[in-house]
Amino acid sequence: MYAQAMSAQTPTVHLTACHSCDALLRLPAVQHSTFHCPRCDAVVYRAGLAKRVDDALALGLAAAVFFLLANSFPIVAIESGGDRSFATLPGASLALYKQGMSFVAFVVAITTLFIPAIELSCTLGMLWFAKFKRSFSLTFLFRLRKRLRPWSMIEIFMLGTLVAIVKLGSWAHVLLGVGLWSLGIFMVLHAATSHAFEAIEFWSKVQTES
Amino acid sequence: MEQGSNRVMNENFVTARARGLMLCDVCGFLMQFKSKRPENIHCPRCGQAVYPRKPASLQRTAALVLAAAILYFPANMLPIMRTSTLTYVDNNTILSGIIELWSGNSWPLAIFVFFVSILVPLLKLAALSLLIISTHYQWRWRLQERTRLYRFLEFIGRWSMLDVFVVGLLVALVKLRGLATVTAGPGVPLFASVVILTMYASQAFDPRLMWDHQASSTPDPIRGS
Repeated sequence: MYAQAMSAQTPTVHLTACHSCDALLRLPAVQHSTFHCPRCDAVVYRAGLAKRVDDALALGLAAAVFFLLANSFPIVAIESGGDRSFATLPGASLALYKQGMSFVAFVVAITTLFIPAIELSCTLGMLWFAKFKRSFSLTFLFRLRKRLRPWSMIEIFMLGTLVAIVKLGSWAHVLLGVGLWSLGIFMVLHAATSHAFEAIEFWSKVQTES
Repeated sequence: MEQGSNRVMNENFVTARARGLMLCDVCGFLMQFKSKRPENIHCPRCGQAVYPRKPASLQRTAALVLAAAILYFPANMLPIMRTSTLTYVDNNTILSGIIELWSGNSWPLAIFVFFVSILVPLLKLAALSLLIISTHYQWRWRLQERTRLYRFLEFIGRWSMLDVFVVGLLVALVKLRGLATVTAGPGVPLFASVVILTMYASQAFDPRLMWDHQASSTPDPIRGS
């Protein structure tokens, strides 16, 4: 059973409800900045950085390239007494798995590899269809992306790398790898792509053009 | 623009639910619902199952908070990491790792790790309990601050995963032949579980429930007296 849509053709962009306190709100006609709920102060609407789909798509494709680089090259290496070893992003969960820590290995792999990759693919897929105006079933991608977002933890992994470097710094020579820089750049580009992608804008774009 | 009249305005807001409307939390579509207890309603735009309020929100949050609280103590007491070199074996708990950072002259980082690994999980458990109790007993006390607290919990909760990543990276990195190895301890899966459970708990909580009691027009300002 489906709900009655308020009006199927013209989306109700101007009337919305606060997700945090359920106050019924009228969005301002000009949407250039962030709109806070006047009742509970939650962010109800945030204007995207890149107004054009092309910009977001370019940022997202660049992010995908750096994500591949981040996974292929070592993040950090240590040198101690002529012996050297390094760690990659997939290597972290692999090493945990080899030690019998399969649950932790799974959590690390999911939060630093699979979810960021799936999230970026979903965003790219949706932008792609928005650009080429296909009437494709986007709904699955959209829901998946929204569900997974809090579980993408690249930025936390980056900070964890910093903590690990500081811990090792006292007794080994630490070398920062290409993987670490790539991961940092991916983080920024991915954030910019996601930021450019705002639900209300996206759906109004897709709906008015279809 | 009407900053001064905020307090007065608070009383006059109409909720979407009171008007028979509900918001899709995935795509932000506002739709009508007809029955008193709407079930199996899917968003006509994105297909997400939509409810005026998250189903069984307080019960689910309470159950997840309880599970996380039980795991919190072993997670902090069992070692998360074992460093073995030729001369010694060192078992690290989360707290001893922080002390090591502190004594190694990286006190800003030590404070940060202490905050996200020790304080945030505790704060999350305490704050979610407060939110559950205050919502269950329909307190109208400090609604805006409580909503802000909830948003802060949602934002900060993920960062507790930090130590799990530190261990993962060190395990992968430190394998100098015979010289030194790092092994993950039994505290890590427990700690990861605490973080995951508290994240699910804050996702299960529906902040709109706190505001619902304000909208219900019972005139007594102090409940229970």
